[in-house]
Amino acid sequence: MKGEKWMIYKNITFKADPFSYDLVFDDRITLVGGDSGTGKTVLYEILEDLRLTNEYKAIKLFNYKSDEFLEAMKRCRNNFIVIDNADILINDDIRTFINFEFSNQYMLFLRNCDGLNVSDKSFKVLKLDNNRITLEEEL
Amino acid sequence: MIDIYTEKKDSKDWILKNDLYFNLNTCNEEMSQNEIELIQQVDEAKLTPDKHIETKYGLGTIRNLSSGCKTLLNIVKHPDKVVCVEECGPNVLKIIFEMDNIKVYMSRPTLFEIPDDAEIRFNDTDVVTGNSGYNTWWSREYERREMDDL
Amino acid sequence: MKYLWTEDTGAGLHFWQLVNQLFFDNELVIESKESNQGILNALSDLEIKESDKYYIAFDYVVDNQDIRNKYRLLRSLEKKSEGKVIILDIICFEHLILAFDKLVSWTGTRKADKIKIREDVLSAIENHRINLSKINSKKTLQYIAGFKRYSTERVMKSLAGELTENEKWSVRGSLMGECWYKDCCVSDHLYNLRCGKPEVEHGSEKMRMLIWSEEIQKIIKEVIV
Repeated sequence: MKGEKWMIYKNITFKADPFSYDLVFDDRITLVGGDSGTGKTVLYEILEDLRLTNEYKAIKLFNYKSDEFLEAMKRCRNNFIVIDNADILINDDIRTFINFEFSNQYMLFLRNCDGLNVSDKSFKVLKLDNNRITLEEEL
Repeated sequence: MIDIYTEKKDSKDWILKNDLYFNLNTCNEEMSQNEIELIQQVDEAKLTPDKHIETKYGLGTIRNLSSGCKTLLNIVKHPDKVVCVEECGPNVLKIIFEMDNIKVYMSRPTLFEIPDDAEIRFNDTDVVTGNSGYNTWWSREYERREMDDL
Repeated sequence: MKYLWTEDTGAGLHFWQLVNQLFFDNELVIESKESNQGILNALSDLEIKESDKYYIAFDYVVDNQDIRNKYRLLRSLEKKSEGKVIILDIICFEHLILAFDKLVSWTGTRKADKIKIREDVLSAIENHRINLSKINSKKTLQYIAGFKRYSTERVMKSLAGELTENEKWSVRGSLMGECWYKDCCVSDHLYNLRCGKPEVEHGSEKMRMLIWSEEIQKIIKEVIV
């Protein structure tokens, strides 16, 4: 609903032994950055299974292997969209779609916030602590 | 000298999709001890002689390395190419900017440690030194982009 | 000494000079460092004396990667300064003008569409950005979508520019438009006045009303002279 926070998923939690994931989102658009090697693509691959469950069926996944990425993205409504390799995939057209299609929520593995309607709560990094993986604010 | 290009170019001498290039080319090349150490440093991954990797996330193949690590290896193995570093985290960029005679593409700045004596040339023209030079160049570039509404 | 450093060079710098004159009785030393990088360079080289304080007017928006990087560097310098460097909570100079509650009535702008867009944008500002999902008006969203590369700062500058085009209200020049700080009337065409006619006519009184507006007061209350 316009004027209120519109989140498809406020949090995504699941187990993927030996790890547990507890991802909490504070904005409609989340950018996951930080160091290389922190497990972003690992997370993406687990989501490929998770999105096939009833609870998380709103998840849509895109990466550099996705066919017709732009067209497929633009068809999304009321989805939780995850884009890996977003730094090389996203152009101004996609940014406009992300900014103005409010029905979707986004988790972008992206280091460049230019042109995106982000807040200070959008910037996150993946943190691994005692086999528990969370999203922490990027300092 | 590190050459930074900020306008994308479609050329066989450019690597824009690092995962793809690595998975089809670089991963099939012999990895030196230096490269094995880089893999350990960036991804905390142990590369076995048969190109499997052992990481805290489990076992995989060399193609399961992070995009940033693959980018670094693309640069090390192919220093003649212009390599897109936009997917690299600050940990990888720090390593890249300690190197010399390499060419990279980035369309916007990232915050990372640049050696004070790093000689950087933007788009074959503007030569700057270190962190301060790098940041000053990007400030002017953003002002230019704003004026041109880019 | 107490300093206020700004990255602005034109009307924004002039604004701070007027604030210093009319609000702080010239207690501050106002300096332009010409760019955000200029501020960072100056702070990095600085040897701060015990009695000195530096107030930094750094334009901070969340949706610009270069600004975000520099802001993080600035924050680390602020932390190391042991309270001698204070970053003022500013989006940009144009936001201060846009948020002035008498902007429309004083300038006499008749751009009804931009007036409405201004209202929508101001209502949607939170934490240094325009939260687009808070905007209901299709026209306002279309206006914002029309920017080739969206940014909070661009929208603010464009809107402030459009709403101050009348008479000599412009804030795009090397100084603030004369209508802001000079006694009325400075119009070039007195017989065809497009101005909204402020309720006060003295330049310094007009500036004081601007300085006492809510958004500006939120910022300058952090400055202690």
